[in-house]
Order: sequence, then structure tokens, then C-alpha cells
Amino acid sequence: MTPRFLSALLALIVPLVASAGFFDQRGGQQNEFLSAEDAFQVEALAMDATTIQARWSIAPGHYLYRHRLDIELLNPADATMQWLAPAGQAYEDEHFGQVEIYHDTLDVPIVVSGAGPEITLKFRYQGCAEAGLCYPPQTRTVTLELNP
Amino acid sequence: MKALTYAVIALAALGLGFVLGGLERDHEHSVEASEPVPAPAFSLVDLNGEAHTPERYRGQLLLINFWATWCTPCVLEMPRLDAAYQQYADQGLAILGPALDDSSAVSTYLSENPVSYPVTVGDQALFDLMDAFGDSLGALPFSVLIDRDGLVVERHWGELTDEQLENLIKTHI
Repeated sequence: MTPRFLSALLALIVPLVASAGFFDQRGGQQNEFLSAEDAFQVEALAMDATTIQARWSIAPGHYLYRHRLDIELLNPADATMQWLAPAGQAYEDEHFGQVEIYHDTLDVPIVVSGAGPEITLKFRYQGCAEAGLCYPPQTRTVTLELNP
Repeated sequence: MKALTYAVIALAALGLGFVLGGLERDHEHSVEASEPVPAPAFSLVDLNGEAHTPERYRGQLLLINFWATWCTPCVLEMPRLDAAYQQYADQGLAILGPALDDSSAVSTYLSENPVSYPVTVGDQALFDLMDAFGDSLGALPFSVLIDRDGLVVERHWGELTDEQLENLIKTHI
């Protein structure tokens, strides 16, 4: 197979595949949508003895509502926690009205005090696919070892 | 000259890809292509206490639209569904709206935004029913069309546009 033939073949195949895939971006069928777990991946990382960084990785074409975001301290019960959802992108939701949403990555710093070597947090969040589908409120419980 | 040839090939392939992609989508009509299968058994009790089963709708075209008040595309399509229900009910169209939500949230919503068709409320049991209808996302809105013989003939994930809803009904009514 000559380099010239290969080049011509690539010139044919690459745009064909790329442009045909364009139509897959719009919704309607189940296999065109991600599961909630794939659309909104959440992880938490203990930075030190009092600071935790929660991060949501939001898939392209999806968003989370700021007003549906919540973090609860489950254990230890006598510890305290502070967190604040960062400002999101202003969005006029046709049902909820003026809201804030997050795309791409959402980082939420959490400050705890009075916790022992381990802490358990519950994350609640809810979002939608821009193609016209919304996921039920999600919960995720995470137990972390706090770094001294 | 060689570069020009490759550019022409690439442009032609690009156009062909768009055409093929568009044709594929038109053919799919935004619904899951599958062989009709009997509807799973269910019994849903609406807000007035009436039970709804597949047997009750035998001989009618039944559109089941799973929704929730926390789902914007769901509440946006409900007036559309209600209008279709009023237009086609005398031709045999029935609509049922199971809400995966709190009863109080649904009642409050419907008091301000009433619909003519029956609405039921539930939680895990409705997710299980969606699963029985072939859904694995648990996301909303999710619509299922059951024909007059009790067969599931269409499934649609996401908001139904006016055009999609009309095509869906006219194809099966």
C-alpha cells in the first residue's frame, strides 16, 4: 500500500467519521445519553487535617444546579463542617426561573473541625443533559481519612 | 494539485458523513428501534384513587409519560401532552403520567398547572417500572407508547417536541 494511497484513504475516512458523529450529539434514544454516574462524577480528597476538596467532573453537554447541591456531615456526629457552593453560571431555566448552573468542573472546598482521623460525608446533587433529559437527585457517600 | 485532490476528497467525505448521519437520525425518529413486546404488568393508582392497568387500556393507544416536578423538560412537555390528549382522546388516545416525586410537590404543581389525563405518584416502584419498560438510565422524561393490542411500540428518552409527539401519535393512532 503506497503512502499516496494511504493519504487518500485517510482524507476520505477521517472527515466521514467525524461529520457522521455530529448527529450523535442530539438526544432521543437511550444510548445517546450518559448514566448519571458517568455524567456527574464526584470525588473528595483530604488536603490536610481540616480541609477536604470535593470535585464534580461534569460531562460535556450536561450541567448541575447550584440550588440542588448539598453536603451533609454524617460521621463523626460531633464534628462541624463549613462549605460554600461557588457562584455558578447564570441560567434562565424555563421551569425554575433564574438559577445558577455548573459545567465542566465544580470544586467545593470543605473545612471541618472536631473530626477524628476519619470523616464520612454525603453529597447530594442534581442536573440535566442539555439534550432535554434530567437525572433524579443523586446521593454519594464518601469516607475519607484526614491527613494529619 | 495532489493537495487539491485530497481536499476535494475530504470535503466530499465530510458532506457524505453529514448526509448519512442525518439520514440515520431521521430513520430512527428519536425512538428506540425494537420489536414490539407486550407491556409489563403494572397497577398505578392515580391521585383520585383510581387504578390503571394495561388491561384497562386494551383497545386504546396508551402513552405513559414518566415525569417529575424537578425535571424542567418534563414540565415543559406536559402542556403539549395535554393538548394532544384533548385532541386525540376521542380517537382512542389515552395518556398516563406517573410522577417520580413527592405527592405534595405533584399536588402543588398540578393545582397551578392542571392536566386532563390521570397522574400517579411513586418512587422506587416507578423506577422499577421504567426498568421493566427497557430504561436503564432512570432519567426523565421517559415516554412509552403501548398500542391497542397491549404491545410496547415506541420508547422515547427526553423531551418530546410538538413534531415528534404528533408523528408518534399519527403513526399509531
